[in-house]
Amino acid sequence: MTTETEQPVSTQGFYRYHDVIGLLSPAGPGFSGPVAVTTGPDGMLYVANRANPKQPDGVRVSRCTTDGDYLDQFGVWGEGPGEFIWVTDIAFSPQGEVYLADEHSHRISVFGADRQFIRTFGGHGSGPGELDRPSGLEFGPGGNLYVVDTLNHRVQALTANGEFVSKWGALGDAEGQFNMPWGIAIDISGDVYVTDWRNDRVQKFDAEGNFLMAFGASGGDEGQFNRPNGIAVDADGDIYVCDWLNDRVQVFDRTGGFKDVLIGHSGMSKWGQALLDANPDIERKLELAVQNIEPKRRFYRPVSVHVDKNGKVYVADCYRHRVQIYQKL
Amino acid sequence: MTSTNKDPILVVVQLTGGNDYINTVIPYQDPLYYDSRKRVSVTQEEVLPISDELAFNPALTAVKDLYDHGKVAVINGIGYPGPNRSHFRSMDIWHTCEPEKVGTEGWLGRAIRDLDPNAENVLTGVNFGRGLPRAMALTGVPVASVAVLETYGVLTGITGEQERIQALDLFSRMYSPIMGTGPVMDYLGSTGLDALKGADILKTVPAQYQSRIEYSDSIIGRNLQGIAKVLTANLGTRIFYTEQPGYDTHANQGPLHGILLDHLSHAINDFYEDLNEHDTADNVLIYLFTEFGRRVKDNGSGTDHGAGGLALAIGDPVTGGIYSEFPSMRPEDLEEGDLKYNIDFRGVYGTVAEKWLGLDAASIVGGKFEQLNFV
Amino acid sequence: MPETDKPLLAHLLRRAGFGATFQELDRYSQLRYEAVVDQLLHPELQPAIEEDVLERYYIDWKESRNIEGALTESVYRMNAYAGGRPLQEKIALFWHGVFATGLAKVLHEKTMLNQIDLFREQGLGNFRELLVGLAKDPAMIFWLDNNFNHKDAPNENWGRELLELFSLGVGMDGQENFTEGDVQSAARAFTGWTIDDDNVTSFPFGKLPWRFRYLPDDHDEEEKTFLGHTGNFNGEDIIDIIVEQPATARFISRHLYNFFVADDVQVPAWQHTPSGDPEAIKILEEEYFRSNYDIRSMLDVLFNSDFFKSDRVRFAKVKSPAEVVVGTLHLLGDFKFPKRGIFDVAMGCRYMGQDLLNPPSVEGWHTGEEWIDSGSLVERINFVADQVSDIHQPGVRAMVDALLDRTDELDPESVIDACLELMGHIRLHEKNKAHLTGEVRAMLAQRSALVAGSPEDRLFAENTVLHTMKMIGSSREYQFA
Repeated sequence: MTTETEQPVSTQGFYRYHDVIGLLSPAGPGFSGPVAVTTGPDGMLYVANRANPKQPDGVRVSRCTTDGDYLDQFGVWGEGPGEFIWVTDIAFSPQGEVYLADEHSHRISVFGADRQFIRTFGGHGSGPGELDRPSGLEFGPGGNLYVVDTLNHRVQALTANGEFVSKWGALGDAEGQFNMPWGIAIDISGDVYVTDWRNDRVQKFDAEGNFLMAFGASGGDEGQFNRPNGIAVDADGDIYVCDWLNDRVQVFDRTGGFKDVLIGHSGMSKWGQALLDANPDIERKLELAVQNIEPKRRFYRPVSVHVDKNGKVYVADCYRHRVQIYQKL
Repeated sequence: MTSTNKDPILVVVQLTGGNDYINTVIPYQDPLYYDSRKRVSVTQEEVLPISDELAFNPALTAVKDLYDHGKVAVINGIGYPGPNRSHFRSMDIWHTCEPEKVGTEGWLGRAIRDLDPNAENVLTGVNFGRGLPRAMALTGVPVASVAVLETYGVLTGITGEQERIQALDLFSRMYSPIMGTGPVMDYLGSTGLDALKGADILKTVPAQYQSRIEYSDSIIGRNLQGIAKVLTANLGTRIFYTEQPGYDTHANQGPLHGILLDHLSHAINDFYEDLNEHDTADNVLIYLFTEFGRRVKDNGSGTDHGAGGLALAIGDPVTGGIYSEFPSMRPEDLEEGDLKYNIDFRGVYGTVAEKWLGLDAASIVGGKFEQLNFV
Repeated sequence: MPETDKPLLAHLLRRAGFGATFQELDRYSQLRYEAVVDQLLHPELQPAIEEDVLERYYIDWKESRNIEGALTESVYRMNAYAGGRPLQEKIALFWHGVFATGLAKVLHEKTMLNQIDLFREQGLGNFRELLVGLAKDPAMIFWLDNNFNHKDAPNENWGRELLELFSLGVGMDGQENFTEGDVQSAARAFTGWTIDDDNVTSFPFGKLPWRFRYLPDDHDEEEKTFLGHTGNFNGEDIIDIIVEQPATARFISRHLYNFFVADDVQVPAWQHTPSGDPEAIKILEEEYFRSNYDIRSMLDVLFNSDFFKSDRVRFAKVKSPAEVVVGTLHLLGDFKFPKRGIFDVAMGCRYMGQDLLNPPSVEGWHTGEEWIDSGSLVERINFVADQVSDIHQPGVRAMVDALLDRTDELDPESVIDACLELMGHIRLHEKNKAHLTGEVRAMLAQRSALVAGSPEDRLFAENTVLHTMKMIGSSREYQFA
């Protein structure tokens, strides 16, 4: 096990790889297609799992410590209130409630801080307060919930109870227009950042939806994107973008200038090691693998990113069923 | 000979892929066995001996138990002249009793026809599984092929009762025979009508079935339980068929084969117990076969297709024991690296057809072949 | 230009694809038949589907962890391309049936799907190249244990099936095509053709892709005798000899005929039983050699031939389950955009007897009439009947509206004829048509047959049409392509 100072560092040197949490598992300690990661007011890590139709039990929100100790899970597969089919994002309200979006049922479900189901709102449509495949969720400092309303190609601001406040956006590639937007982040001044997925760019708005800036273009170079999805903003105003099909997370400064890129440096996780310890034949198989070990470290469809107040960057590494953690230096 | 006045019932279990004979019934005292199979043998300490020469694979615990109670006949060295090593072809041969040419009529299809010449009962033959095995195929012989008993039926999407009755009435008219439309249309027609009839009857089975037996979780377990449900519903079914796939163990045979035999052993045990609970074990014969054995020498981690193989007959009607000689494994006695057969499989089928089902063996298996005395 | 014959085009699209909607037939009929064939033969010139959208919503597919996920993806893709690139999907399905590889053993979904992609990309190309690609395909190597085929311990599985099932066939015209010695030589020639990392495990972080690897140290460099030739043959040399054989031309031609023209007897009978149309086979064999083993050229000849257009072979094939499922989805216009529910539909294909990506053995599925038994027939009937009566499906809505917009008052014969045409120029035997006519007449007698009288009239008219389509979909005739 390498020591802290030997951990790999990002390409521009602003981040050091810290740890990985995860294991392919449809229940218990493990993830199954993690699509959203965040930390809660309780300081714990919350990971929403998408699973697959053959394993509906895998659909759940897993909760663990940021050191990788498993705690519990909640949420089940289904179409009833408080159940999920296609979960997309998690957000915590200022009151500490958990909000989860489902892009099949076109709804947002609310759970208490104790993770018991409280209520649901939304519903399929294009009117105010209605949703069409909601993906990103985030609360603004004013207490409003901002929802990326994907197939309506817009962002809506709602109250915490789901009442319509405002909206902006339409299908297109001009400023203030979107094409199947995905993720959302909000900085301390209430400005809203949206990953404009099919336009391969990030757009920034104020809390009322007035366009402020945009950056990004299609491609694989620095500052270019191939379908960006997850997005986060840290206390310094740096912007983190999951560059999904380029399998990397790019970091930009507050002006949208390229700063650094994370490509994934995963080692073995606690849960993974426990599995190997209990199953020597699996460990032997891994050792016998002739292939280069490097591909296993890399991100494979990073889909969600979150930065906590200590500068820890959490990335949901979807197809590797893990969360990789970097430390901002 | 049947010793009951209930109609004898046959349950055929096909082990698909070519079950490895000599790792199922093991010549555990023969050094040739261990020499030929440096990587793929079962150790002497693990086997379950049934005689001084032969033993069961350790996974077959329940079958060994039944053997000790005289309910298992081990039939050695079963095969046919000019063995074919390809799956489809060999399985077809076992299904049709036609080693020389491609047959399309199944021996069990003929048996069903002989048991029910006027096809009065569309459920005389029932297959549990997807698709219809050629063994049961014969023009004019209806066979219900049930994947899942609980959801079996025609136009089940029409919910209104009156609407459904009308639709099924039209359906049966549109599936009635029409002269001159050719064999495939005829086949579709009769298949559709039989399905309709069978579905109506099978609908009633799940609700009727009661049992304390908890079948272990495996494909073969589920299929045998399905058979038990229909069997104990006394619908007049005389021949049941099902299969356990996965025996084509070219590689990594050790663990794979063990799991299959373990599932099989438990399933047979659960099934037998269920029959006992329903007081019907005395008129049910279970027959297990495979399309070929495997090569004597292993290939390093598994075995390739071979020839002569094994059959098992299990149940109360069986006179337990070992039948027919275990084939010699001496290199000079092998045929292209495979075991020679000692008894033609058609004789074993004939035994079942004649001595158990009371039918004329020769017309079912296509000739006169040496029979045995296990039933 | 006069319109190209629509029933003929419908026949072509059923064979080269999964059938065509009435709107598609309208468009196709504006082209000459030969031009339609040419368009079908070049799927690569048509737009690709939106892979990013697919991956966004079906997040579990790219690294699917179970057979069912891969089966679902395959059904979705066949349907997604059924309009724009039908032959791409049909040729992949064709080769998958011939080069049958089972996911239950391979247990590496992505690798299996890569094999199907090989068929999509090279399935219309050169047969020699396809065989070489197949020999290097990691799923195939693992499936037929060629990773256990060593210089000092040969494993014959791949060598045998390559000859018996993938190229020469067991025999032709009563003769055997190869000997056990040839099998052994072929096996030895492919020693060393293996894969990187067959120790597949999903844990802890998912599977890694397999790659082909050639190990020269494990390759048998001795002389081998194969089909009368002798030399230190490697795998490609064996394939070179194979593709030259008349038996290969025969085998591939029969397979193409069986899949695209008319149901033949099952493959094991081919050694002794000639095709139902030996002349057609001969034409295809000649093109095989003339075109230097080019499948596209053979299909060009096939689709343009008299034996294909002949009435004798219309509806002469029993639909495979894939065709029942995808053909129905395409008719309905369903799943043109990712949404939930494709999984359950795809499972229908399995229940009808075709577990895509997981054939029962390397010999593939028994096809033609043998798709049908009392179990699978019930599945097929129930599936189609349920789907075609769903007016919310865009394709169903379009058919119903098209029919009702043509007329003010319904009469049974016209309703039935219109439904048969809209559902793909299907034919019903006159006796069955008479039964159905009686039924529709009885329905219409219950109330006014006016289409546009009132909302209730319209609803009743729609329900009448839906019921008619349901019964057509349940018919025997509908089982044929």
